[in-house]
Amino acid sequence: MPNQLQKNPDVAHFYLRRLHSLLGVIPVSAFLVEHMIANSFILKGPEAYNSVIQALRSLPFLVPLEILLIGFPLAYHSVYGIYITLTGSANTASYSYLRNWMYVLQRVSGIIALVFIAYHVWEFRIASDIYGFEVSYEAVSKALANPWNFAFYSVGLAGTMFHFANGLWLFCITWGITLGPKSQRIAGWIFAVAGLVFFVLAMQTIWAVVQ
Amino acid sequence: MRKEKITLKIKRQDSPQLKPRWETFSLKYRPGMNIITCLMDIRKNPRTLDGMKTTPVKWEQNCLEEVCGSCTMIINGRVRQACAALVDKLEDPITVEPMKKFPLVCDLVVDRSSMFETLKHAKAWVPIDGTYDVGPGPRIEPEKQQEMYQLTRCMTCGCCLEACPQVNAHSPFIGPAVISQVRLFNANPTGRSNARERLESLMITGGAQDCGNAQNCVEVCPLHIPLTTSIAEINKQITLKLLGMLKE
Amino acid sequence: MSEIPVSKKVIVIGGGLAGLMATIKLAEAGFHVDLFSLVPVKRSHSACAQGGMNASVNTKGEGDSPQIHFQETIHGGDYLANQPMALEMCKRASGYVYLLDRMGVPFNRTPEGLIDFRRFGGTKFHRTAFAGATTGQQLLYALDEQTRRHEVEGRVRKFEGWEFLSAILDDKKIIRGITAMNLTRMEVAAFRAGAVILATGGCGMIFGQSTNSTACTGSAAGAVFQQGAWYANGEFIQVHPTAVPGEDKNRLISESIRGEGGRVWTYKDGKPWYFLEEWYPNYGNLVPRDIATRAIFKVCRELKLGVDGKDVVYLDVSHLARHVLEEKLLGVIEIYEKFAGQDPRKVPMKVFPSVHYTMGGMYVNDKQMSNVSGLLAAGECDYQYHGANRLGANSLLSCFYGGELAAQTAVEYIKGKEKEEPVSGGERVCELEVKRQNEINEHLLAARGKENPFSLWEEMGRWMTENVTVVRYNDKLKKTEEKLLEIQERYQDINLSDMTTWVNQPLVFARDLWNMIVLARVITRGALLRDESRGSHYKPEFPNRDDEKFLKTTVARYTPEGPEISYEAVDTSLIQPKPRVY
Repeated sequence: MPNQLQKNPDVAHFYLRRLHSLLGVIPVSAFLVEHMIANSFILKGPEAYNSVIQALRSLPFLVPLEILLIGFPLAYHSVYGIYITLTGSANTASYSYLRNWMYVLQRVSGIIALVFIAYHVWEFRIASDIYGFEVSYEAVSKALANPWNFAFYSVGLAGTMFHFANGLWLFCITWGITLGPKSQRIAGWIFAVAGLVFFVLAMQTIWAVVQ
Repeated sequence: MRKEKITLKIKRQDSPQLKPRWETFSLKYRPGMNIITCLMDIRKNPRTLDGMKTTPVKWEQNCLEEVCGSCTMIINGRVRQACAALVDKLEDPITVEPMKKFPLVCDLVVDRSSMFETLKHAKAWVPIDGTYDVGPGPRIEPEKQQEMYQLTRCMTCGCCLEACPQVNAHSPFIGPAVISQVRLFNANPTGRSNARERLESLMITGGAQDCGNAQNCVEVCPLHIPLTTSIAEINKQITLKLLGMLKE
Repeated sequence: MSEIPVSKKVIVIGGGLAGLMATIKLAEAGFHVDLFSLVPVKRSHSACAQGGMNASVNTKGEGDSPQIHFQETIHGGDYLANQPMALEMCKRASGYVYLLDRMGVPFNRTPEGLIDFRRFGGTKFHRTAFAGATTGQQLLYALDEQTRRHEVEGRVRKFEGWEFLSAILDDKKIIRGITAMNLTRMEVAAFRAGAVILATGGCGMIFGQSTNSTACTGSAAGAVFQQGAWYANGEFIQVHPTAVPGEDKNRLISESIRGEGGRVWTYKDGKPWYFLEEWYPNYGNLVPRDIATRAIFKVCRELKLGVDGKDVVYLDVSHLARHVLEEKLLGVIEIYEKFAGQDPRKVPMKVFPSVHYTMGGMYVNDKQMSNVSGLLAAGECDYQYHGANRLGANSLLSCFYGGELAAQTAVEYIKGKEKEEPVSGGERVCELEVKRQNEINEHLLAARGKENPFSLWEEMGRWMTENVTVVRYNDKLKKTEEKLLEIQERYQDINLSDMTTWVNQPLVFARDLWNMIVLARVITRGALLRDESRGSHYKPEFPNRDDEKFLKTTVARYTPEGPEISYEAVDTSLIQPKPRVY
């Protein structure tokens, strides 16, 4: 409620909120793009893919880099995102405008993405270290051969890609890049196409790996 | 032709402490009726549909031509001014409720004083030296005047806050109206001198960053104020300020 | 702020333009202001002013000057305004426009970036500064913002959602403060101050439907009238020629529409007939309001040439350039679109005259002081400046001038008072007055009669509109007087249908209604006794102006039996009255 503003003039709140927005793009979205491109080597066959994985896994200081550059930002973005979700109260029943639906979907897709990414990281990163199996074309192929897992991945990818594309659109407003309705509409189309392209690419990738 | 009777379901609450209740009224239809004329009918003969005596419904009103912002309420689920809500354009039965984002006072009366408080907080004025006659202000191009005019029309009615999913009891967001006013005064040649302070007033809990971009505000604003552009523009100014690039 | 001495405090009633101007001026002079308003001041009726504000700056090289503005104001008012006051107001006009410009009012601009001016009624000069077609709203907001600034700095305390009930007068009939009622909690309280400025606007609500906001009951003026303040020129009520009739209110279609080229017409012999242009070739559609209104009445009522035989004429802007409509007239166009459901860009608007402005009001001297010591009035609620008919775009101006002058006078008054005798004291009168007001409330709450206050008001409104507006006949005025007496009697048999002490709106309205009836009697009596035609006051039985008998201010004094009317000479020291021909 607006009257809480005077009672609670916390400057940190502003920076925390903007940090959430910034981290969503750099590094989280940037990593997502990198990850998608790396995974798309699946389309070039097992050898190509395995060599890319090998190269990535042989990076020096891999674990500290992963924790610092991906783990922390992602965790912060997730936890703060949950907080943001909790401060909202959806009202699409009364005001069923497109952007209002996108507002709700951004939150829903955020939760989907969080669950999906948590499982995905467990399955192909943490579990492999703990149980000592190799992440490879074969391992991925085996895991996704389970139709339930495949369905879960499809939904997860859809949520993630929506959250990514719409998140970039939101970023442009939050940082004052797209101002008027026209530029926001154009940005909307650009990110919608980008999100769709990435989703198709991702689906192609997981489809290819189970074939 | 329309039917001869219209049905009005009004959410009533005698005081903040008491429980709300719904009362249904049946009124004689006349062409050109709006929600205010309906409420005026009821206060002349406060009887519900089943003939029970009740008290006149309480509501706020003043100009009745959508420039004062008083009679804002939720009509058929949507926030708007009752004076401009023509019965001919509403589906029957018509439901009328008080705004939900502000403390309830009585029936359709709510307390919107918090919106005026935020205007104080944001220094929403031009800091002139005094009201003495010292000649004209700075020249302004007609295009800029048109842009400012759109923003100065805000009547602090509260529609944008009511429709905003980020404005609610468990969120600190101040809502779009005041952000748009900051844009207005930061654009004024004299008002610009306080631009930093105004931006800082929005860089705290509940400030501009807490907007969720659902953009309902711009859809429900009765005066079509470009609220979402204002929010983005203020975001831009804040970004520039962070980068040390805000023009004085 | 409770420790602020009464001698440093002024109470302002009403948060429209005049009230806020007085408030700001007082705060600047180092005084503390308690500002009372029925509604949050940003929602005051000044917001409804559309067309603009006059100031002769002659930026279009037409040879305009404050002197000409003054002459036209006096001529437009049919010589009933006190001339030195009006002259001073006209001289100060450009200063106010520039002040508002500095406050950030988005006045429309010329391509060079200067403030643009448009034409209005009763003049041939481009003299009206405007901000779209919502000028009053823009000016009100500018003053609201400046007032808020003073509020933050601790010089102004706002009491929004409070109804003024009465002045607190001591034994010597000197004002000591006011009583007011909170509109939520219904509690009555006394507030003390060295002086009180009433800026409570007009009383259009007396006529049922008008272009006024619902707060414009004239209740405050009616209340102090019953306490001994005089009321002047009550019979002069401006009926605006162009409004959209409605059941809840008549919505104004601004004169600026005609100022920008809008034309009034109806069908005659199957062809459009621009009767104003035909009858008044010099001024055309921009004749003063009283004249345009009578012309429309003549067309509709006498000639029976209203559109479809009804009380309707066309006001047409469909021929105007789109950018004029969008940039200069949008607010009005939107109002018609919203409330009449048709697009004025395409079809002519259907309009009819409506009660609009109260030229009369509280009697004040040349410094805005009423006959009650320490009680001042400014804005529409005083009677100065506009005589028998107000020129368009002069009302906003009179709010600024009256408000500023009232503030100055209040300061002088309090300072002078300090020397004579301490302004303090008076707890006893405060208590007595609160008790008296509470008794009125208790009486109303306990009443179990059969008269609904809202129905009673409607009945009064119908009578007043029918008989005491554009065309007045003595027999009908007499009948209206009888009717008002009857209404006053029936008022004793009132029933609020509401006994609560939390947001009891019927109670507030019933109190207003009593004061409205009292003022309605002042208006009607004044109209009955003025056997001439002047400005907005027109009697077919006495079609001419009678300067010998009636170049005089009507002054009404309250008696329990009814208003007592006397006449006072008008200050015509600057211009000799001429026949009013347009």
